[in-house]
Amino acid sequence: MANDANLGRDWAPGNPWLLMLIALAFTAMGWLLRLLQLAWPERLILILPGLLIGAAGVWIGLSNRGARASFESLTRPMRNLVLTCLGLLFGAAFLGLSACLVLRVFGNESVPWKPGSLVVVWLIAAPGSAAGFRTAWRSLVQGRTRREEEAAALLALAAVICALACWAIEWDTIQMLLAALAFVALVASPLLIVSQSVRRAVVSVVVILHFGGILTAVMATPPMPWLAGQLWTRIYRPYLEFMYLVNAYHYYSPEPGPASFLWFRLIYLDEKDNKHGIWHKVPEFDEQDRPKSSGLAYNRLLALTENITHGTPMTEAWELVKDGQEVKMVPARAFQQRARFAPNFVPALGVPGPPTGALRIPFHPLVPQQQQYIIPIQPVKELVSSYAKHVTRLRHPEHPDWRIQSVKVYRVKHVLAQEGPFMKGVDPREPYFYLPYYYGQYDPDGRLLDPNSPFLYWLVPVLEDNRRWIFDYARRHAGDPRWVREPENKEWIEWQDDR
Amino acid sequence: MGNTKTDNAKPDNVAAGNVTFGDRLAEAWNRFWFSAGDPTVLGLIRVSCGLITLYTLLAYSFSLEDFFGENAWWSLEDARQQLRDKPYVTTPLRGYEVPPAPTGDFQEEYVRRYRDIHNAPAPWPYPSNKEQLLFADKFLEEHHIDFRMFHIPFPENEEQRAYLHRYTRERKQPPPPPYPADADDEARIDEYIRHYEVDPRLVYAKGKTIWSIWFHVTDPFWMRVVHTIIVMVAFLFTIGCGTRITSVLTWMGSLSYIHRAEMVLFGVDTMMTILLLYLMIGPSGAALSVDRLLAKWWSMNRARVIGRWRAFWKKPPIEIAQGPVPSTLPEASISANFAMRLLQVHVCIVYLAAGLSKLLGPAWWNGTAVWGVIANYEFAPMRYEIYNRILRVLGQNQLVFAIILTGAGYFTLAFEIGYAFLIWRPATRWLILSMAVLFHASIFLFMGLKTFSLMMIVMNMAFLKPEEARRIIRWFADIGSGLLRLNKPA
Repeated sequence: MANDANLGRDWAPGNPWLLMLIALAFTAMGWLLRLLQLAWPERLILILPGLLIGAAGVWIGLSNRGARASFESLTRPMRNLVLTCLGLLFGAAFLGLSACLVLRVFGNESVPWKPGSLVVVWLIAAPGSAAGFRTAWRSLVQGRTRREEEAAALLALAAVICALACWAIEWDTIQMLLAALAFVALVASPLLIVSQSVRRAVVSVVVILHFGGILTAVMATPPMPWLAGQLWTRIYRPYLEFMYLVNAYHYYSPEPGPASFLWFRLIYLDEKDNKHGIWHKVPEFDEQDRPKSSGLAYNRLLALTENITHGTPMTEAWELVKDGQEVKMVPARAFQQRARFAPNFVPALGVPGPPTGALRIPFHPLVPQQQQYIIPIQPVKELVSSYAKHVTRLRHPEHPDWRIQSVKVYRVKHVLAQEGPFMKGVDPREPYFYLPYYYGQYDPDGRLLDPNSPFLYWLVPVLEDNRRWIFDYARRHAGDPRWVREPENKEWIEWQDDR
Repeated sequence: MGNTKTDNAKPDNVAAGNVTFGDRLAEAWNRFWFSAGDPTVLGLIRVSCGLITLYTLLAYSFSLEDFFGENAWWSLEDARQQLRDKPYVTTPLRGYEVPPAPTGDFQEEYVRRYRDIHNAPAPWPYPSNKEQLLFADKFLEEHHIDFRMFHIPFPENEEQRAYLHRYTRERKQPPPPPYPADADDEARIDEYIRHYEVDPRLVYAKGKTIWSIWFHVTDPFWMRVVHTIIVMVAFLFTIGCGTRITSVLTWMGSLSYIHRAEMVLFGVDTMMTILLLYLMIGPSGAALSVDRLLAKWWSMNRARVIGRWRAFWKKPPIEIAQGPVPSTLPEASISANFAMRLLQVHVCIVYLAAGLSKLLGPAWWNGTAVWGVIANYEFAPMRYEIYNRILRVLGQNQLVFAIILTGAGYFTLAFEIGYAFLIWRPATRWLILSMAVLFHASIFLFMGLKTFSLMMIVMNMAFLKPEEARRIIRWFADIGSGLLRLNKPA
């Protein structure tokens, strides 16, 4: 009577080795086509099914419990060959990793990995490989073949399949993923034949290293200890980035902050090269102030805006400059440049005033001046440029034939209404609760067009006067003629003169 | 193979009473990580997490090209550049640099004189002759900075001298070694500095270790095809079909979206990644799954199926024993317990980090932090006038309002910081779980983070006992069958 022991012979789809051989054939063919520089991306038709079939083979092979090893149906020389290959593989893995580590520690740069990461890889893989080599050798000497050896061979073959697929595919990031899968299969393979205590010891080391990485990610945000920074950069960064375990879980820390928006002023040119501007806001709200995108999409758009808030405020409003033999304290250069374009600016003797007709924008009277100038960090500048490139692909909603000329970008902080004013009935949507920072004008290729603008990275305020008129200088700066709001019907109207 | 029930008999030395601290620690460690566990809770977590994952994936359908396409918010070109070049800088491990010993009388004299004049160690490399000494002095006088700040060697030709001066003039600091090989090399360095504001010769590592199918598939049609396949795989994972494979594929698929569009991520993605990782490690398809149904069906029908297979291939019939019938309750396994423990420890770290980091902010101490949450227009339900009215009514009594806000703030701190310590104790487990439900329900209502709140509640399921999980499943099943009975025509 047939049972699980020889079911594989009677039921081909249940034979893991058949599936693995098919997978090996597919991926090997894919690799061969790569060598011959042929059939890309068509060879994905071989590689992807090969990987799936291999995964199915491993799953079936590892989940057949209580079954006798199908190796036992092999002849003794074949069994010995399999065991020898396993042993050699594990031994080679141990020796290879150890050699790489020793070479790297002694400064040999031919080994591509950093020493820190290599130490961790060695700790994970080497002890298991060494123990696996010893166990495979013992099995060979004793002439026994257990299910465990068969399972280890399956995993080792899975590693080979992943490696072949990695070489067959031309997508560099997916190559990295497949190489990692091959490594995991190779590390797991000897663990199936070693003793329970060795297996548990190796797994315990992996657990400790894993949570060491998680804790490093938690601590590697300012104010971070030097040690956490070193661990993160030298050892854990590749693993944590690969697995997306980089979060520090510092939610609403140190304090809940206001949400941010992105306001884009898209400037189109019509057939006669006249400029027309429209606003595109992220996230967008309708006339009833409800977000136009709902649920998850809305949260994701808010995350988009949150990612460009990191910047460095102007640390000092004053700076020391050398004037011949003297050292003088003068207003910081950025502040001087900005101040020239404030209303009522009176230039000192010899200092040029702003050009005639230049736009004059006041400082915000309530925000400290140092907080009105926030220089984005370099990754944020790159993101803003990318965002600008993205939005310039939007067609004008009414005139899709108009071509885009440029876009002005504003990062807008929506500050919270204080408890007191809110309780007295102040509407948190009032325009003066919005603090727009000008992040530059960009062309459709994302190039910053006005790096010398006096308003670049400055707060362009929205102010209310004592008659409740609102003056939105961000709109004014963006070229929107409707930049003043009247108090009664709260309509935005065109306004020619400065206040 | 190590996955089945373990023999929980005590080791010999423990049984004999010769127990050291190390033995006790090892035994406790083994018991914590390597005992057999019921996979029912894991199955419940799989279904719940799978549903939320499906929802997040389906939500991407409406903005696939905006988030992951070639001209996405983070354009493919910029993303690939970061992938290749992003700099990671670090300080020396030793923390300080040990100057090399001078060689020869000239250098010894130089080092001695430098120390006498400047009361500081001489920067290296040290000059080997008078010409180099004069160059160093002249450079210092012209630029007010020593060119050996990053230990670049003395220039050997006019090109290198010109490069030193040019670089220092432009960047107000000297270059690190080595000198550029040629003009192209110098242009490449300058471009990197312009882009990343750091010299590539100073970075410890370059490039991010991330991967995504969306770095490679950018054609809109094929993006939809791949996206549909990933959604289907996530569905199969949720219902527990081929779970050992679909769990890995779902994790890969989910991370593909995450790695490609990092700027649209928030808490739900972080938690989803953690859950999918541990569900992939453990036998999450061992309970509440199609896999279990299939296993049951196979055990009862395999003789018939194999018989028909053999007949199709014209093989002689054989008698096949009925396979083992899966038991009513899922089989306990070490890997199920192991995955649950990983999740439990990770959840504790999440809460502890969140709570302790809040202590950095004065608003959490002085009780005003919660106002920053409930009055945040973009997150709180402030567009509903009733909500604003309730706030204003509550605010009319300063004492009551202060108690609510301060109480909520301290509740948050106590819950998050206390979680890691109290969740393990039987006496306080249900108290903490109830606080978790209340906490995340509040986030759901007052901060609009619905999927994040649901995902956190799913993570808290890691601390349910299997019988509790079964009770919850029966409760949902009763509700479902009750609804079906209601809808059944008379």
